[in-house]
Amino acid sequence: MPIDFKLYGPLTGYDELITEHKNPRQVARKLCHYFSGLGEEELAELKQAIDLAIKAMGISFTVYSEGSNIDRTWPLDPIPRMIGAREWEQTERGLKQRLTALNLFIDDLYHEQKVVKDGVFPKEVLAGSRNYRKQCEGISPPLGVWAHICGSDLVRDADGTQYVLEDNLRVPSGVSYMLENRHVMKRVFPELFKDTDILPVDDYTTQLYEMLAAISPRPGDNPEVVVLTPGIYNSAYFEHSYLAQQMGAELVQGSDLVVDDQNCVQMKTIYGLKRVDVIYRRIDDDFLDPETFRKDSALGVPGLMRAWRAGKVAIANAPGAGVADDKVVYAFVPDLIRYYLKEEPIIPNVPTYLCMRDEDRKYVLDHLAELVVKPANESGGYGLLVGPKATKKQLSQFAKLIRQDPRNYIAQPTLNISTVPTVVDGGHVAPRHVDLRPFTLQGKRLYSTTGGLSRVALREGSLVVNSSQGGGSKDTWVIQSRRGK
Amino acid sequence: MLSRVAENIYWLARYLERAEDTARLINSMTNLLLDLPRNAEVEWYELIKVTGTEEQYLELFDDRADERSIMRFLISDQRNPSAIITCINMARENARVSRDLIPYEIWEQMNELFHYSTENAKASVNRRRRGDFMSGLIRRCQTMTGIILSTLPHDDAYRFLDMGYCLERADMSSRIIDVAVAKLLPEEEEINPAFATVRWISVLKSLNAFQAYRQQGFIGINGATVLDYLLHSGEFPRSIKHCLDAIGHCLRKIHKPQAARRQLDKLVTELEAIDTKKLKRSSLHRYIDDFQQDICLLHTAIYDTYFHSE
Repeated sequence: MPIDFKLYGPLTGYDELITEHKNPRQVARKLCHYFSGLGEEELAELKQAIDLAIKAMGISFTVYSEGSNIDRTWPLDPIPRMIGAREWEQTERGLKQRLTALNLFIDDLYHEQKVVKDGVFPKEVLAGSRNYRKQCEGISPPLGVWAHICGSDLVRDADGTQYVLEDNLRVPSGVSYMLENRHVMKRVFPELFKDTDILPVDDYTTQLYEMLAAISPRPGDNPEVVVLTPGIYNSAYFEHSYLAQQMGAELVQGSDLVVDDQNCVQMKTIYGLKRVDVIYRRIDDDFLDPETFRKDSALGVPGLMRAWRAGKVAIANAPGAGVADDKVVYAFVPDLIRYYLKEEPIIPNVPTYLCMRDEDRKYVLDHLAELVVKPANESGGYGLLVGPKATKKQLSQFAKLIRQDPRNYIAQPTLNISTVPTVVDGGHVAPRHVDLRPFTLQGKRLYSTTGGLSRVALREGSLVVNSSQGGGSKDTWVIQSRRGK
Repeated sequence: MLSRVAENIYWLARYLERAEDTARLINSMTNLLLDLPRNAEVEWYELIKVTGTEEQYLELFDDRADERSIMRFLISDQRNPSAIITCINMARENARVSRDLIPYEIWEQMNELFHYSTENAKASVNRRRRGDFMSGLIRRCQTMTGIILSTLPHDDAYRFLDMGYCLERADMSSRIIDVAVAKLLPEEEEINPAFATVRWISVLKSLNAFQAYRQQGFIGINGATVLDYLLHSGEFPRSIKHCLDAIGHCLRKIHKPQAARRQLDKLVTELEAIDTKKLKRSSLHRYIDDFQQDICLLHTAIYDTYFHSE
């Protein structure tokens, strides 16, 4: 039986490809036409072809479960998520605006803290920040940039408004899957690419390398750029090796590096030691340098902070950049944009209640069953409460947590985030909730990926899109329409 | 190049070569036993000796030495560090941590090989499926070699890979020769000449050397010439001489190879001193034993010079 989008549903809010009248949106017309010509069996076969290609390409991610690491094949859905080029331009401007403001904010925090003195950012929030690093005070990294790579999560509510849900400024991952998804789709659907103007995504690694080279302390043609990974057991190891390979950079572990008495970082090569200029680190601050941060870290490099402070090596993202990756700071980003850039935010924030404010906390505790509650410093979808889906016990547990540590919790209305047609149960097409993680770079210039990584919650009604918790992914197509360029 | 990565690349090659050599060995033994009298079961145990896994085997299986147990141990038993499946897993892990360096196609082929061995290893313990599995495995390993040859820049990474391949191959060839010597060279008692010929052919075949050997125009197949060929041929890619030459070639291109070069020169001198016509079984056996230990020392020299020099 061919796929019939008239039977698609039930629609619970905004769908990215299909209108409420069950017609394909302008941007998705060709695609929906293509899929309408397929039967469920053919669709199931396509899904299989994709799985096979992914297996052959060895695209995987690691899940921790009961103390062991399981290597899972990356889940990719056959139906792409589409965005019109004109809408995307706007989003891209919004992302760049946001990152610019965040970098000004971080630099200000580690220097004069004007933003606090001017009363825009409360002192108590800074005092309670878990990722503020005293060791970074007074340091001026190259170009004044602290967060060189940012992965922001975007979602769309029922009325079609797009929001920034959070900014990931520590070690955001997922970009390799965005690139590999496109790779797989080209392999499996070459015919679809022929007559659609899909903007390419694969210049990301070139841009990343250029940005990293630009912050080298020894300007020259060939700075030694390395990717620092915690190692093969990290859930994002695939991505670390992928990016290193694509950039032609060395993939190093902490044990490959030493800091010499000149405060230079050296890597151990077959010919002896070789100086490193730029480290793209995929290790959290805490583990970066046992001399400065956690003493028990075996992943880091003793003396790395010394080298960085002496300006002998560049680190991206800079140590301490995580101070802005805090869900309480998030609530202030629109104000920060106005403060530093004298502009209105292009992409709005989700309305956010700060539990540290008495008024907000009272509201949150009274309306817990309607809200989503998030701890300020977790990532990967861990430790959050989805009010409408929570049990009584969970609700009272969270109420207690919030009262104990109000600084550490924020709450937001439960968004009815948009859906996108997704292949489920052997060839059936149904709406599933989706988000979008674009990646933005700041070096000498600003750059944003074209689209990003779309993540879908594969269970019906579920809002959890994280791959570690059973989410899937989609290729994201930014479409240049021929008429309206 | 990072020392750690050089080590990974070197081991990637060693494990691949070990898997392929074991597959060849099993294939030729299976074929040989089809030609021998039916009570030849005990011969299977030779494979355990050749692969140097006697200790682990006895720990797991006591004195059982039937074809099935031995095949399972050599092919699909993850507890055996030299089982084909273990080698392929280890090769993939080494490839995975070197992914930033090795071309994409090599990684894809490595994956293909990994999935092939994971999915088929168990079933190939049976004779019926065994031959197909081994041929499939050998072909995939060879595809890997081909892709490496044509996609990996012939720089240091390639040299460490090549050294890994050649060292493992020299090691395996010497083991096969060692067992052949122990079993096949006449001491006091005579072996039935018809069986002896079949066995020498099998030795040649397990090193894929039968055809090449015949093309040399030797008359007949006897122990001394076969051994001489496998030890000293400069042309045959699995002869020990050829492997050592290749390692020497790599070492000349990499800086600072002193310790490794000295050890290699020692090996070459020893090798050249072996005269297969003059030596009796016991002395030849001793020679080859020493020689194997020196191969280990060559590995240690490479290890100390490049992977863990402090």
